[in-house]
Amino acid sequence: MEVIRILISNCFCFVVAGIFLSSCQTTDKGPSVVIYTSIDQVYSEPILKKFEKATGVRVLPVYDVEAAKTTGLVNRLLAEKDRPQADVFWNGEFAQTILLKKEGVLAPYRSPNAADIPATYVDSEGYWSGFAGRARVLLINTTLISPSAYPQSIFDLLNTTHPADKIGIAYPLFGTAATHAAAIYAALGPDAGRDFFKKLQARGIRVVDGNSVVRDLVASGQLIFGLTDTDDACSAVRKGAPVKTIFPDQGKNGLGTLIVPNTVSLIAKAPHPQEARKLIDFLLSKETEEALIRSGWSHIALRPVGVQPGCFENSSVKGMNMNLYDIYGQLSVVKRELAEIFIR
Amino acid sequence: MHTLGLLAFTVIVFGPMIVLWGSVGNSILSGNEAWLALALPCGRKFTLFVRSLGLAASVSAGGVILGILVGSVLWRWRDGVGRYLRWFILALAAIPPYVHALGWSSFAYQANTWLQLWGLPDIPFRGFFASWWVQLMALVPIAIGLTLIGLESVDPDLIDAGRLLRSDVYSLRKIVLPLAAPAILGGGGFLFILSLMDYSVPSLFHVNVYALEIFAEYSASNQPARAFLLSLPLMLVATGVVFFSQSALRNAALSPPWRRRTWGVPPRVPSLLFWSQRVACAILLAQIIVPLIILILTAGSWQNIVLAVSSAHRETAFTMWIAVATALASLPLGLSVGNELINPTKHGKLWWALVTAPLAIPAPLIGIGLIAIWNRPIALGLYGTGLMPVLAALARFTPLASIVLLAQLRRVDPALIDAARILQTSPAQTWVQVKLPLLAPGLLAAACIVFVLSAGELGATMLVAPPGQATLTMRIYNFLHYGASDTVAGLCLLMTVAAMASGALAVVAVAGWSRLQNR
Repeated sequence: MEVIRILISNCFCFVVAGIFLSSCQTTDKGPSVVIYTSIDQVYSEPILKKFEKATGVRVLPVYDVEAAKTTGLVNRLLAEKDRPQADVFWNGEFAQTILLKKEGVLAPYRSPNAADIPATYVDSEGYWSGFAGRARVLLINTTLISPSAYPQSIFDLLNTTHPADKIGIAYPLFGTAATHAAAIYAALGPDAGRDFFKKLQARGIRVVDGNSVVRDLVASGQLIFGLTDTDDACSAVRKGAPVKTIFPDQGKNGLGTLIVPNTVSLIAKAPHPQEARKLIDFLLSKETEEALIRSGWSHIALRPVGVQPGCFENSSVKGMNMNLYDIYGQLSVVKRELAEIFIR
Repeated sequence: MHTLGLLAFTVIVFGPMIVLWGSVGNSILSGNEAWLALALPCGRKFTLFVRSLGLAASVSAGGVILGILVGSVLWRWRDGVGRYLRWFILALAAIPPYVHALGWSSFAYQANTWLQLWGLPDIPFRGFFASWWVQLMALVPIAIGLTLIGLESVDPDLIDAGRLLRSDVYSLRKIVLPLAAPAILGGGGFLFILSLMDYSVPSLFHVNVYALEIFAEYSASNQPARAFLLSLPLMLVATGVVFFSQSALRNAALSPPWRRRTWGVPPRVPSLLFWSQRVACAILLAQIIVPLIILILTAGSWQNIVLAVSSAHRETAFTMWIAVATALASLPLGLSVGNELINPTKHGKLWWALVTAPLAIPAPLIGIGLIAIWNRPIALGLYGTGLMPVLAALARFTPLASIVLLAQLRRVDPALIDAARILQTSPAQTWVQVKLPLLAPGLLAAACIVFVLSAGELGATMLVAPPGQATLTMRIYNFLHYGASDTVAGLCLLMTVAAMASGALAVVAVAGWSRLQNR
């Protein structure tokens, strides 16, 4: 009986203490700001800590994960629309941000620190601002292919000299892979875009569960090359994997590669609007963009900055000449069509 | 108390589902009747659906066979350290399936490298077989744990009686397995559902499944109602599988034998069964060794592990809080519903139809339902606190606890309860001195399973986690994307050790309590 009593009382104390602690941590006094971000914690946390140190405003982040297949924070923001918890949304790409604008989740705010960012990467109505771009790249395992045979274009994914089961892409239905597919549809036209992906599927190339999986499979030698993001490629380079990164379609008549800017936006009815604006200003500063390039998250500065990306040889990258809203316009159709093509 | 438990179960578990039905109703009333077609998988979706059922059924069957073979060996470990060690198998379920996938892929890659060196052809580790193997390895601890619970519940007097008259194998086939069947088949049912809902492992091995279609739909439309309609066929199948696996069995009232010695004289089994048991144990050993070795090698050094662990102390504390609170809270709720499920009346059948459906709802939809319920001015102020992830885990896993407890309730002799009621001085005394000892194995198993699954929950937790706090699983997946495999390995090892330590505490507590009861 004694043991039972101790067990029950301990459990009760544990639960009460847990409720107390978990309540305390979220209702702490002092200015605070809640940010939802899809940027990896390892890159975004130091930036947010720096902001805390500089302003004394406590940052309460919620991080997204790739495994959630873009059904995570964006849907949380949509569900919380009437009583938002978040003040700021820092997204690693732009398509979902445009969706949130269209759904009325965002509020306009023109940060003075976005003044020198090109108009292509800033919403004309001020609902979001882009900064610190990433790009889509071909990651190659250098031990499995000679330099003369390195692929140079996304169309090399269809080149039959490379065995199909040794080439990989992430499902083009989620995240930046979906955005890239939408950009290809927008650039080539829907018919040619659909045809390109149908040929990829018919070839039997490996379609895997995310860009990071493409990176891991290339780095370990299970794939010769694959299509992924610069941040994934950079982490493989920094780990010393035998890989090389190629920015695809950089020739004179090439399509260019998709440049994916980070986007930051203010949430409509944000509980802490003043702190939110301060944080947005901080994120859009040149110093933050430089820090993101130094850390390996971003590689394409959207304005002149004083640092060069350490992972890659190319300092200038030819991007696809596309309007971000045109790309977004294709996204819904692309996701439905590519689900039909790839999930079967 | 019973009514209160049912009420809490209804609010917590059915609440998100009611919200989702509401959003379906709203959509249809707004002129989207065509969406109803999503609930009928046809064409390409039918192919995916059938493939998913095939994969889930084969994982479940493999799990049941391995569970019986390994469980029947571990069942005889009743002395010394082995008596406690065997329960740690359940803790292995805390290793995320992704880690098993990485471990086995690396193993296959290494094996193929050796084969190439010897001029032999590759063994491709892709497709249906690879998916089946990795899912089986990730989920088999649950099947073995539940089989063990089922075997522990068999009255040794019945086995002894059987062995006097017929062979050991006959006793095993005709007495032991039928009596342990509710727990064994319950384990098979869980594996079926967990495999059915997983898209990440199959997609790693180039197998498209129906769960991925649901995520693709949700990602494309951002409409919970559409994703919910798409998941209805899975709900029907999940309900059917668990219902038929349990309803085909009769209740077998037994005394509580789980502390007593079985197989005083070692059983004699035919060589085929003997070697099958050895092969199954070897597979279990590989299931433990391959991911653990890969994790230890990937972690690189003890310093890396220490660094990964020390940098995650807040996430560890938050995860432990969620897992322990969910495991404890799921027991009274699960027990209330278990008592309804065992009821053969129409009322009981209605509960059967309802209780398994939430198991087949995709986790993010549970999160969306919880936001709709609790993110309101009059909702007790719970939203944004650390209780929300507990509610999310309860909504997802309490049905599992109720089914585990149902398997245990089937083993309780009503005569003992009736006798206790006549002699009791208070209902509390009956509870502590009679019902609790009878239910203890089931309570322990349910708590362990809910603990492990809650600690690893991601999809719903991410949608309701309070700002500024994260779980270990969220951190692991965050670092997975970054490619910090050493940190991920360190965190996975931490998760496994934490699950084992919690399991050890529970076993020690119950062992201490059973000693007291024996006095």
